[in-house]
Amino acid sequence: MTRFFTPQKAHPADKSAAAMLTDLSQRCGMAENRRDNRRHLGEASMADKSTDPVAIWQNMMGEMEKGFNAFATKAMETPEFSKAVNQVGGVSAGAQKQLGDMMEKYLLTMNLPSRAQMVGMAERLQGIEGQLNEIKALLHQLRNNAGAAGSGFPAAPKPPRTKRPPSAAGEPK
Amino acid sequence: MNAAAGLDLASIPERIQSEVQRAIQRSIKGVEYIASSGPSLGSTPKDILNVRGTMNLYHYRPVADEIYRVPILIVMATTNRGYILDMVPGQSFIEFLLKRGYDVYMLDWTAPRPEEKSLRMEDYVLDFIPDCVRQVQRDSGETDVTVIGYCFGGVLSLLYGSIFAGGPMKNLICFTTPVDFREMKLFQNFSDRRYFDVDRLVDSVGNVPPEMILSSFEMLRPASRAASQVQLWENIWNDEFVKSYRMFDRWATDTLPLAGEYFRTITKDLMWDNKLYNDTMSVGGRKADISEIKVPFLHAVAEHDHIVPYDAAKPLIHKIGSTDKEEVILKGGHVSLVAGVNAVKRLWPKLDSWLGERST
Repeated sequence: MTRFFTPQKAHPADKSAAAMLTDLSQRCGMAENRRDNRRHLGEASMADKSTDPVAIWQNMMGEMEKGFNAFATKAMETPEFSKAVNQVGGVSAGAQKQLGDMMEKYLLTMNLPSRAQMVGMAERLQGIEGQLNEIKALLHQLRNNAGAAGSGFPAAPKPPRTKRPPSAAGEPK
Repeated sequence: MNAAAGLDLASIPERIQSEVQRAIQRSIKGVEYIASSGPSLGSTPKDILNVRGTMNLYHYRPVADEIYRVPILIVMATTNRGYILDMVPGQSFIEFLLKRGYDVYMLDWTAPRPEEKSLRMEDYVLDFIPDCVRQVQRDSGETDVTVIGYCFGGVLSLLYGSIFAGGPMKNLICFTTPVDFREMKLFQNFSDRRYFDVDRLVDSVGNVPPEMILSSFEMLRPASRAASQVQLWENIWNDEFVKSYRMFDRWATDTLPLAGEYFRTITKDLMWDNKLYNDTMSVGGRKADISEIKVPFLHAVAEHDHIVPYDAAKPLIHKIGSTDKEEVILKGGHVSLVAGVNAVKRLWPKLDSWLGERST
């Protein structure tokens, strides 16, 4: 098992940014962009983060978010929560279906296309798109086969499958 | 220490000026943000080899003069779009692989149509993946194929690999792949069998709507969407931040519906009965035991993954039958493991050095 940790020591400016990692930024590496930007903009020169109102605000937001997430997670781990959510979810799924059926009848009376009909149209369009893609795929295959047979059709050039890993080839990694 | 004593008085005017400029920039850029479309994603040149309903097989055009012998088939998670691995030039895993000399194919998914609600786990594991593997073999002219599975794509790859243990899979790489579903605590609670009537849901809605999938992801961190909006406003003057935000936000909200029968199996077999972990999983009547997988195996997991917590992914390395196997734990979250600055520096080079040696 290998563990890869960040090798460099955390910059003082990183602390407030790291503290306010949000779900999206944490998931997507934006927090790192943000740290790099802060360095780039010279904000790291702020000697004491405790007096920087922006850092205080960011820190406070981060702490609030973490606190709320932790609180909500605890609440959501209870069986009561599961029961309540699934009751609501079950009722709303049923109600949604009934409402959908009613709307269908209403639209039919009004001589308007229903959602199901629109979905049907979309499906037919998707079907046509699918067939076009199949034709494209067949043409692609045909072009490759034709090229391989040397029948005059230009085949997409394929690089040779001879690459060796840098360690075997003696290249620097 | 007194706060005022630590205040750098000389920097105050500069600081105020900078904040005023940013406030102006926020207003200008805010309008631009609303008026403009986001960056174009998933634009690495590719050919569509096959489209069959929800299944799409792409081949990315090689860019290196010389490529490794063994092609790669990436199996994407069924809940999300594959362009997370092909964001923009410089931040694209696909582009990275192509430049490093790999021949890359991707099995990506589109929203299953209403009539595809009856797609079952066996359609994915015994039909879609083997069909794509055959097409990769045919297109590349090679028998061996490396399979890379991301998140639930990893679960599908494990099921495929354990059923087709005799080949042609040469290497298997999984990113943040859960095997012990008891450890996905919140998802477990959301789908508690005492209260969650999966049959009723699937029978009434058909395919599970994407809004429901998205809400269940967002409920794992309920404050984070609001906080990320605040962060966006704070940083809207910063073009790089906004570009990155838009890319990832678009992907995160671009969730796919799940085929009803497939969702029913996931809930009953994996969430409720934890069959993959208990070695009792079968697909279409064929036993899927991951200890049958003997090919070289790499599992990359994220230290701060809130969607697939480490405890849910941890047993995989012990359960897999391979002798050549490695687990890497990287800093980051579920998505930053594979995309973004984090991945460029950490996962991608590691994967390249591991896979290059096994791709000849």
